[in-house]
Amino acid sequence: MALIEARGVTKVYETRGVRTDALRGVDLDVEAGEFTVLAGPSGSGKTTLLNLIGALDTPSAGTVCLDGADLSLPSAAQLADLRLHSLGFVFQAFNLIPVLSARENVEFVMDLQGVPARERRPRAISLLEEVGLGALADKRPMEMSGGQQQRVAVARAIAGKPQIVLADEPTANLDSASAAQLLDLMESLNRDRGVTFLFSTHDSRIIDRARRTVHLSDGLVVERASSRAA
Amino acid sequence: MRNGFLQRAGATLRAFVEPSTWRLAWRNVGRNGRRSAIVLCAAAVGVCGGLLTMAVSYGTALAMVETAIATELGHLQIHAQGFNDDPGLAHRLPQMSELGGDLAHDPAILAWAPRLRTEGLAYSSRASAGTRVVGVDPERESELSLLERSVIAGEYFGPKKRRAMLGADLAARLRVETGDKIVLSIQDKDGEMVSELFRVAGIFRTPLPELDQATIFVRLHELQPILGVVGEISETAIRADPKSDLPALANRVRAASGVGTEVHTWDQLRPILVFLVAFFEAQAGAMYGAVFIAMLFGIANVMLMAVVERIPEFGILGALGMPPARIGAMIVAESLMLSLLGLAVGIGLTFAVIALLGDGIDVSRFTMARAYGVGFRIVPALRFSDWTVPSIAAVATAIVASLAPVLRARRIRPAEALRHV
Ligand SMILES: Nc1ncnc2c1ncn2[C@@H]1O[C@H](COP(=O)(O)OP(=O)(O)O)[C@@H](O)[C@H]1O
Ligand SMILES: [Mg+2]
Repeated sequence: MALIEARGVTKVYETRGVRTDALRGVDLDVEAGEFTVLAGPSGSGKTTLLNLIGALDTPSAGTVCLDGADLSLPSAAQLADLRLHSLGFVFQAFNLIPVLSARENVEFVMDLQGVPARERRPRAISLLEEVGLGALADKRPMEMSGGQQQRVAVARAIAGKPQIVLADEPTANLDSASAAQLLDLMESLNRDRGVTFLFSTHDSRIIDRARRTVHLSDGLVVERASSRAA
Repeated sequence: MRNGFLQRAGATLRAFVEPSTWRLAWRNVGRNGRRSAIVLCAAAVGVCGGLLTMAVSYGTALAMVETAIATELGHLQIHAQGFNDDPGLAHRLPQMSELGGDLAHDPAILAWAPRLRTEGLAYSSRASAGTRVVGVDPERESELSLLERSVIAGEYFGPKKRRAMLGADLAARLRVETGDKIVLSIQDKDGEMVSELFRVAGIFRTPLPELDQATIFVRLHELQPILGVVGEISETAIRADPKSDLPALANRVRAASGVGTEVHTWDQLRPILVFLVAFFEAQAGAMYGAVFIAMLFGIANVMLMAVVERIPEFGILGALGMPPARIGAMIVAESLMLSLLGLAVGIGLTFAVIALLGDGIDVSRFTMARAYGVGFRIVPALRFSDWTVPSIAAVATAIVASLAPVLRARRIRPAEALRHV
């Protein structure tokens, strides 16, 4: 059984009478420990699919299972709890809580999880050091570059020890050097700590580096086997 | 359904004791410093205005009561049974040289004075006027009431016999000055008209208009034979220690005075004073209500703006798995901080103003004040409840004001919120 199992997933948006078929029957498996890139042009349904896997939205048809559990069954509060404990998120922009420092942002998820302050503080510091930002622990997001903010977001995403980290175009707002640096970071976390990543991008430079790529086009997975040796 | 509600309420309460709820709320209050400062100032000025209105109202009511008590009323009066319903010579008490029973040594009694009351006509060579005629013991009366200290012309009875003290307005109406003659025409206890000559020893002005307009004080022992009631009086007025328990003292006086007497406290003797005190309080209360309603809408509006501005951020918080109860608690905490800070600043401001007005506001220039019998000075005064009521109101205001913002925040769905970044 794969960690993520999406079966026949469709998503239809209805806004003011306009019907959009964002996903039209997607099947996807992600195994624990994998590093998967969800590739596809803008509007192909990447965000929609990540939202469904991330328990932020429910499919119009089909099922999404996380570790064997159907995500359409629990209540909103239970889903919040599931996101808190099992999922890590990195978004495209404005990831960080602006009134909290880098360290507090990393601590935030652990705080919600109920990790005591004396444990989460050193853990946040060591995570920030791991992403190369130990010196910026007390800086607010406003005082950091876009690349630094995204690395704090990655540190925060893994701080809660999730089963999988979902990253929706985390490099979209970064220059190519920062993007490559972020990708290096995620790859090393995958390799050294076994963190499972599923992240979307439409940046071909990143797609070229990926070990496993799933291509989305017009709401469908276009099978194009592209596994690169590590 | 009910269970779900209880669970949610429990989760919200638990969220309130999380330090991170308050830390986040505090930072959020600080992030739009100018807006927070505006709400805070508005709340502070409102609270201060409300408190000062309360203080002045209460001070006014207090001054009114104290003036009435000090000028003539006393805290307690002993009469013959039936006097209160039919004040007249028909109801009399025997005059005593000391208060009866244990009252002579009662520490709660600061002073007492006997009085004989009737009504009649006063004639001068130029005019006449209806007037109350009160016989008093000048020494005892000066310990009890403000009469001696209210003399503005002449002297307090003086050494000579058959002297009268006139209220300033009455003296003006009769067009008499000190030393002038007046004739008092009154009925004795049997209904016979008697006329007696007095000279004006002094003229007084008190804070009570009715006293100044139509009262003549003469010596008790001179009035008694005129009315045919030697050794008898209408009332004994008692001034009590303000810190003493007045109803308890009234009961002791009642017990000592025995059958055939009635003992009344100032509020029973002048129900209008009680009404006016309540009226002033209601007025201040209405002002207060208005302040808190304005505060409610102000805070609700600011918090709603703060939520709408931060929709993507609420999306992130929700996506990360922050429970809805904690998001709600954070908003309520922000609102509480604004309102409690406003309250604190408002109370500080009030203290400052009251300290500046330490010896009170001089109202002797205002005829209104005289009409109410306020006296010449209002010292703003606040009771314990004047602090607790706004504090509770501020908390309630904050919670009610955060209702709409919390509901708005609950409608934010992370997937939607994040799409709009
Ligand atoms: N909330 C929504 N309401 C209406 N249409 C939506 C909504 N979210 C996405 N879409 C539409 O669904 C399609 C897929 O969008 P999205 O998943 O955001 O693609 P991607 O992330 O690959 O750019 C697009 O046509 C988009 O306009
Ligand atoms: Mg997208």
